[in-house]
Amino acid sequence: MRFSSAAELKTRRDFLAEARRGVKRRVIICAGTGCVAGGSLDVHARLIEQAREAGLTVEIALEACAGEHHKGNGGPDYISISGCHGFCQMGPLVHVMPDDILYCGVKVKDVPAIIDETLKKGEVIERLLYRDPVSKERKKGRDEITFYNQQHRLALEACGVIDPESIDDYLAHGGYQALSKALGEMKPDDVVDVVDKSGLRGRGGGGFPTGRKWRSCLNAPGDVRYVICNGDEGDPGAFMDRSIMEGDPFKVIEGMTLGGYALGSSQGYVYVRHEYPLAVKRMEKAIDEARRAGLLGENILDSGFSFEIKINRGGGAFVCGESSALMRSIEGYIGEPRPKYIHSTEKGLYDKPTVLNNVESWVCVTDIVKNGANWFASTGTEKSKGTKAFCLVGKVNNTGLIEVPMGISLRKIVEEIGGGIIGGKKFKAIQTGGPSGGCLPAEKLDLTVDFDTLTSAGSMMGSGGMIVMDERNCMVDVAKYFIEFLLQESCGKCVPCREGLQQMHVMLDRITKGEGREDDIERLESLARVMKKASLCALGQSAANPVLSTLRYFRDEYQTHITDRRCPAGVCKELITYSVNDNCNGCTLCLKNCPADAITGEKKKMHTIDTDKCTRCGACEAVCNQDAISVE
Amino acid sequence: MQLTIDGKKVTAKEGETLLQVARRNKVDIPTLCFHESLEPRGSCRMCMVEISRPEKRHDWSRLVASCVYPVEEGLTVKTDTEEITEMRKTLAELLLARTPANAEMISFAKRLGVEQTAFEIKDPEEQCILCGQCVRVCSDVIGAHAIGMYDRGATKKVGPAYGKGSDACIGCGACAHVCPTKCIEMIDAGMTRKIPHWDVEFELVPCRICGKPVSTRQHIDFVRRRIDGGPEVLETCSECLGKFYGAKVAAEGHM
Amino acid sequence: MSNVEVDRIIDRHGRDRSSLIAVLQDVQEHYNWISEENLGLVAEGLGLPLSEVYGVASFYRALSLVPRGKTIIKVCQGTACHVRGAQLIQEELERQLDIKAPGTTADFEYTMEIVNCVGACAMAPVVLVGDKYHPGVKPHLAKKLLVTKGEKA
Repeated sequence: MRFSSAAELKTRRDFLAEARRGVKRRVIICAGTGCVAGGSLDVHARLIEQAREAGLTVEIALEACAGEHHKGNGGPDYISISGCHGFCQMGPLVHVMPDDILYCGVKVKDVPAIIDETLKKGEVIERLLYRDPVSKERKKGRDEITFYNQQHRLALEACGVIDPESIDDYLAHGGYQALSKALGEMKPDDVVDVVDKSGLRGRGGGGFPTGRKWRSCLNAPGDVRYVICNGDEGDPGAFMDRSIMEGDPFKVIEGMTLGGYALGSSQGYVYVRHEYPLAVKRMEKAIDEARRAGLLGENILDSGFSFEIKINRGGGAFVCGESSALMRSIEGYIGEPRPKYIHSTEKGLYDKPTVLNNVESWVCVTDIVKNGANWFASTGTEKSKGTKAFCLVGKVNNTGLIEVPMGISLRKIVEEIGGGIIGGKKFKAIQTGGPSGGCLPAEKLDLTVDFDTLTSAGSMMGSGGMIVMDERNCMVDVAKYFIEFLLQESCGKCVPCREGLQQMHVMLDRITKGEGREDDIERLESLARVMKKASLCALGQSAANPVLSTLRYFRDEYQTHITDRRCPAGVCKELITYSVNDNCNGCTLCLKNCPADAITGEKKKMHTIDTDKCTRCGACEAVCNQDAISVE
Repeated sequence: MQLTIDGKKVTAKEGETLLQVARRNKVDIPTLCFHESLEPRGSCRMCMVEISRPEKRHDWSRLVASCVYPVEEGLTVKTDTEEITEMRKTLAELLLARTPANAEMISFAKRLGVEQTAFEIKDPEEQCILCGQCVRVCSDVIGAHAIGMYDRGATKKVGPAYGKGSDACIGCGACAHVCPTKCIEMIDAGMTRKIPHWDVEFELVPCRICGKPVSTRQHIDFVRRRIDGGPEVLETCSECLGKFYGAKVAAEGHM
Repeated sequence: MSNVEVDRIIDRHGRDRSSLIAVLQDVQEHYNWISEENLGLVAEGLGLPLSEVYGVASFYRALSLVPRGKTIIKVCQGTACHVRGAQLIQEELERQLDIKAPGTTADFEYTMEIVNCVGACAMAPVVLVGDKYHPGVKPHLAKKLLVTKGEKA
């Protein structure tokens, strides 16, 4: 339905919220990229089919839950999909509310049990519950699981709750209250004011004060202004923005619309990375729905304000996450950044004043306008207000998407929320800030996470990727990995970045192959200094950070590679040997799985690895149940 | 407006760049990707200078590319600090590693005090430093759009699409004229012109008066489409133009 | 006929420079790659020089100027996948298919591409076979992926 006034919107919202309250039970099946990969859409379809067959009153659209016939018998079972719950490795996830039962790793074969035991009898299926890696106990729901109960979900609040493909659900959840309020009771400048006062700083990694950015755009001369949502999220290891776009797309759109109103812009763009097809699909659908509801387009809610949004898909270029390169890409050019001497808030897209903000920032804008500046500023630290979404991945037990208040310690994230290192191995480093960031060792775990603290330690908070590494990760290899990544992604325009990255790669490659020279470390450091000072854009300027931070904290590991030609972590292929040790019981598993036929041996007798044939692929170590493979 | 460059007070107009003002005042700043007829690209980074405002903020300075940085009132500019000199040397070493056999690059590096490079040489035959001047002149000044930059990063290249000689090339030679490493050779032999770098070959049109080669048919037609000129002007070599039409132009102000 | 399809795509997005990347993406979606002929048609249709369009097509890794195989395999090389063995998976698949990524098998059955993060980091290491995401792939079991031949997710 189409809303032509704030009053109509409110009536509909109240009606839908009432419908939601009347639901007996809500079964939410996660349909984020991760769970979909695990088959959650099949689970969703089967649940609906079989629940109906079992005689349950099932609804799949919120509006239908308001039907009169539901009132007499306690309400329907509302089965819906949601965006990413964040606990991706436990997926496919099925969440039953209001009981707060979280089922993990749900397959189609589990559906009958869920219907019979949980939906019909209200009982919990133990075997489908999450098992705490430390205490080994089964935990019922999000309230009991440390991964969830230590979080403070504001930007991600609706992800994993609402159906991202339903504008009705978004409205029932409180959606578009911010826009109604802004268009009805606030002047554009009031909106800029509240964002300014909230202390919001950009969530894309730069941390620039959003209010200040908006004001400089307002002060720039001209009638045409643009608003852009940066959904490029190129940092490997980060998927916060993907989850928000997949899980709560209307909130992003509402934020951008508020931005358009505040800045006097009538055209917004969402730039989504090529590698996120589901996010593109969900955003496209949401824009369509919003348009049909009259919440996008001409004369929104009879306010006189008009706003349109176009989606641009990225073409597989990390550098297009840089704002000036992103704008060139929207214009139809290659993504070569421009020097930032003239700000894009004055001359940005098509040389017009432009405000570009990250997906998470736009979502914060919606919340700030709805709940007020003080509400936002009441969480976090003095200079870093609010909460932040992070992707905790790597060698921790609980990997996934989390949201925590600024000012929390790294230790709390890794040990409490992350549940510590897998397999009881030793923590070695945590990498934050993507290719622009750095690695911090165990001694730095008590540092607090915010825009400034990690920077002085040689890393940075960045957009939110946090990769935990253990004793079996080689820090020289990690540095080489990042340089290789940037080498592939550099646009190639400026000399220090293009040529500097190549030469850094040459040096790091030699070191990992046991051909390091004694002056390599010094040369790496001096080249890094030049790249930092001379590069045209932030990609080149920060490219050396992973190298510099690993040199700072793991210098002896580099030295061991150079002087002793050894890789202590057992990673760098040319420097390690795989061999069978005394634990071998002759089960022939490794022999059968070796792709190079390098293992010989009879059953029940100790096997041998032919070092010359061995390709260091690690298959033997992976399949061995006796811990009989040594890597030195 | 007024600013200070290497201790010297200079005047500048709004819209000018630091490089323009510096060069006008005989301050030498090395450049590779800059050409006064082209939009500055700011990609070689040789022209970087240090800017500061010592009276206002004693703890602030910044390194910027002077070819693109706009002049500002009261700026203090230093073009050859130790930091900048060292940085230029490293950049020169990096480029020497890219084009080790290029005579122009070798002498450019020598002028900066760099005789050799410790960096690894990837392709000893490479001659192009990807300054982009040829592409900019072909697209923005001439308007032929025969060459472009393709791929990205370390494998970025300059040339015609698909590496095949392009029909859009008019053989005007502007690219060869601007190239700082002189790696684009334009070879005129008899009535043939070859630019092997772009895999193109042309026949030259003879002067209507003396028969010496003027330019390619494509170039002449290209100009004809732009300026409506007849064969008397376009198919006459510059010598003959001067000899036969110079007097007429001087007297009547036109052909 | 290719003219009609390319024309349709250009019409859908608009005959403007700003449509270039979207047009090229749709041409690739339809034909699995961008041929020299189609690239020329796009240039003509948008009124852009060929050198410009070629420059854009070659810059963006999602676009392919060489023909690709029936099934596209992408081994994610994002950081989370890397620390969990993505390099080994890639090498194993390269060994199985006898190609180096990026590359296509001689029979055009498979193309292997490198992708830098698909955003499924919590399920690292991830391999995409066609549209299907395969989470938590183990290097020595990677060859099993070749049996699935890219079912639609």
